[in-house]
Amino acid sequence: MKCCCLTSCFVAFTLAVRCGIASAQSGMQPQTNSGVNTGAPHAAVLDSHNRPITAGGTVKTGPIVFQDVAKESGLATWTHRMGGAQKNFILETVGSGVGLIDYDNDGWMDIYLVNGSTYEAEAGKATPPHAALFHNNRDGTFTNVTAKAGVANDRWGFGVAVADYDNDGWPDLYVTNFGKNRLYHNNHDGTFTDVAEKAGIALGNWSTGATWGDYDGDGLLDLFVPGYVHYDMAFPPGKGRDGTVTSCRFRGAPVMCGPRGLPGEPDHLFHNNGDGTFTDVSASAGVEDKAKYYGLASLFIDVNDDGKVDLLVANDSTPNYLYLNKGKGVFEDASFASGYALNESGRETASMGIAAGDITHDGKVDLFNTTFSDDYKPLYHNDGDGSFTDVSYRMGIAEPTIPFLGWGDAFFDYDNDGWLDLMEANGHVYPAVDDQSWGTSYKQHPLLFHNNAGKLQLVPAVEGSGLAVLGVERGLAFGDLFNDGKIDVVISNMDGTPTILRNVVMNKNHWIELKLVGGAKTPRDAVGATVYVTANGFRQRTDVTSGGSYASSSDPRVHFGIGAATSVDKVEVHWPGGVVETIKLPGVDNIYTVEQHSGVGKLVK
Amino acid sequence: MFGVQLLLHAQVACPRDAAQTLDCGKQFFAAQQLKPAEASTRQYLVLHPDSADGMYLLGRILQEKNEAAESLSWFTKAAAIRQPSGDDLRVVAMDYVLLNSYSDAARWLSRSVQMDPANAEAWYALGRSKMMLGDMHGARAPLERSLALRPKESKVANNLGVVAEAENHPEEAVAFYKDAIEWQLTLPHPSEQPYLNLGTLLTTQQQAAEALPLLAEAVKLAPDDPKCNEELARAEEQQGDFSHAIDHLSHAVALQPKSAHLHFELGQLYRHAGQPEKAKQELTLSSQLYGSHSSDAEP
Repeated sequence: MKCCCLTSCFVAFTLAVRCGIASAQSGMQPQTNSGVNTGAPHAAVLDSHNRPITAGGTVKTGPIVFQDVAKESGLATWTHRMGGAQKNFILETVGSGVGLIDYDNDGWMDIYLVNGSTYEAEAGKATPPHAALFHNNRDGTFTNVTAKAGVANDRWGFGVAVADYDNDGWPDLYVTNFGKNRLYHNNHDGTFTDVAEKAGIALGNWSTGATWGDYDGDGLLDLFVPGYVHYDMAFPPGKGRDGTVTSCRFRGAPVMCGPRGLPGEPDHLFHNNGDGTFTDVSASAGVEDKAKYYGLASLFIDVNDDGKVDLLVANDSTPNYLYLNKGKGVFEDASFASGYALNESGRETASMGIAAGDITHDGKVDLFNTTFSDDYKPLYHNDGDGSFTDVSYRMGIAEPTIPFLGWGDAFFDYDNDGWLDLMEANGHVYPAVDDQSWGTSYKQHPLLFHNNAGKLQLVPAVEGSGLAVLGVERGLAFGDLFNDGKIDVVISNMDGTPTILRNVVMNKNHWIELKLVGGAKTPRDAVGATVYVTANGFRQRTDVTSGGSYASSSDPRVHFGIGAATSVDKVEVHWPGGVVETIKLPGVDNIYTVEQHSGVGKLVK
Repeated sequence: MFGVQLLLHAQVACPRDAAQTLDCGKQFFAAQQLKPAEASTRQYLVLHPDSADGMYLLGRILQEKNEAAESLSWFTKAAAIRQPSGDDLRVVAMDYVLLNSYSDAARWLSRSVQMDPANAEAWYALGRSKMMLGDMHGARAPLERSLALRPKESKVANNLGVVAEAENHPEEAVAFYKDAIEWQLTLPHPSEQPYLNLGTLLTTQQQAAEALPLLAEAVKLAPDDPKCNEELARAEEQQGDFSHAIDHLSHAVALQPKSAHLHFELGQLYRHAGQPEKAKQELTLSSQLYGSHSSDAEP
């Protein structure tokens, strides 16, 4: 961070827009000028058409990686809606997520899109916007089956986390809302039943990006639910009793207030009792979020390779949490000790989403967090023992991310070369940015970084291709929607139709995908498992997770590109609970089911 | 009695009937002796309550004393009697800066330079106000105007460097910072800021070897500036010189012991240097400081 306090200057000057108040009420973070913690104002980077780089910067020719097939697929028939167009209040700005779920167990990923709501709907004066479950027709199209499935939600929705919490072999949906959350139990017949109240996990204020994971090794998936802002719709921040709205300011312009300056909503960890109910163990487990930081995303994943899932929480404008699982149901708060709490400068970031993956083939999970515009997105290299170093500048990916406001993010191998690439969805929270010359825009395009043997490089968006599609992007989930071995992406656009980025990479690289099925003492959907594949001269790692990317849940099947290799040398599965198995695969370029204790991968018909 | 007190300030010669004129107040003010300047001017205003000159002078003195609210009230009274000059408006703007209202400051500075377009200091202040408002593009023109009126002014070049850096023109920023360094070489008290800014930029660009001598000079000029020590430590760590990096960052922490981010950086530095216990200690301190006041404003 720069400083230029000359001896004769009129005030101490800093490039940072941050200028907070030293004292704070419990659970309420001091308000900054803007309500968010971000970096110094950066001047606009414009493309040759004078567009901010966030809405432009496309190239006329080049390899086309993704095509948006939302219209052809049928997904564009559904529209997301969240509050009014002016976005006067923070509740209207955060957007929703997307979940990939094979709800009918036909071997094809279906898509669940969370919807927001409107003030009219909340007041009972209008029909609420519906969430949508799209069934995969296996021909490139999807059919909206929401009504039959009974998963419309009809609440002000934010996130979805997919997992088989009752180990019945059928994936369920946990949907987070402003208001009570839903646990849609899969009835095995194409319908779901909301059992959140009975299960004891409905909560009631503002929940965001939840994650499933078996933290205590009992074979049952537990649930972590981050809380964002404790919000009162009757008295939203800045609104006076006479109905007038007082704005906060960002870079001198009036904008909605928050999250800083607003009371935080605490996080919750729910232990799965195995009988359809859960117990809130946040305090006893040591993850109760006493500071009430503004949680937006979370992820259970084993970051120190001790066989137990640890817990990451991306907090907006406040330090992130990293809880190391110490066993016996207890976590140690290693947020600061790990280096994950802050960025390289020791500054809090407005964290929105978490990507986790081994990008250097050292066998350890690295992390990438999306943050606000005017701020780079930190890439945390895993140094081992649960310690991380922000290497974003060193890796050369800091600068290109600065103008973007990032949300959903993920590491996946889009070109099947065996190296995890990186994608982030982007979109601003202030519509007014389009009236300013800040070098950012309300609608933005996603960013894709190609992993070139451990070095990440920005992939230029070709005009007319999927990477050039603009939206107020929020949730992002990835998976093999068309079972062709190529990873596709679904992005939820706030107040718009979703984007389906169909992978159209033309190469002859080979791949494998594994659907893991846990045994009797393991979560049935194997969430928490780690798979190592050795092929093409190196060893890769991928984890089965539920959550991470902002408010979204991706394909639970693990995918590995293996480049030119026509066989794999070794497949090693570290099942939740500690059992390690070496698996034999009959071939490549296929999707295989791997059942625990079977030792073989069976071709999915 | 008043005359005797004034005589204590030997360098300012005041007549026995000092209160009859503003000369004493002006002389004390020019000598930056603000207390006697204020006393003298107030005494003058008792005898001459309708003197716009006296009011404007008192407004300036109070602005220098960081008493912005009262300063503004005197400027307001004075303006009711006689139109302010462009430079008066510049001082009014400085009051708004003290009150943390940069938009008001920029507004008055814009009027100031309209009335007095040759006022280099007003153009400079206008540029700075726009920088504080985050309007880096808008800051460039006033700063360039100021530099044209007062060539080789180091502080203006330094700020233009900051603007250029924010505009993603790092090469231009480097040039401005180098100009700022060169132009202050003849000054009796050169500033550490252009050294700090250039060194920091080079460190960010992974050019720590080039940054090190600049940051060392910044620390030499301002040994007790935490930021200078922090940035020098970063460059040293990038060069693998953990020992000196720890020394300088520890000094920064000692200078600013309640800075959560400095403790965090020191903790990470200890960890990278293979000293896990000290790392843990610092990171715990950082955590406690953030936990107690998760504020972006360092104490």
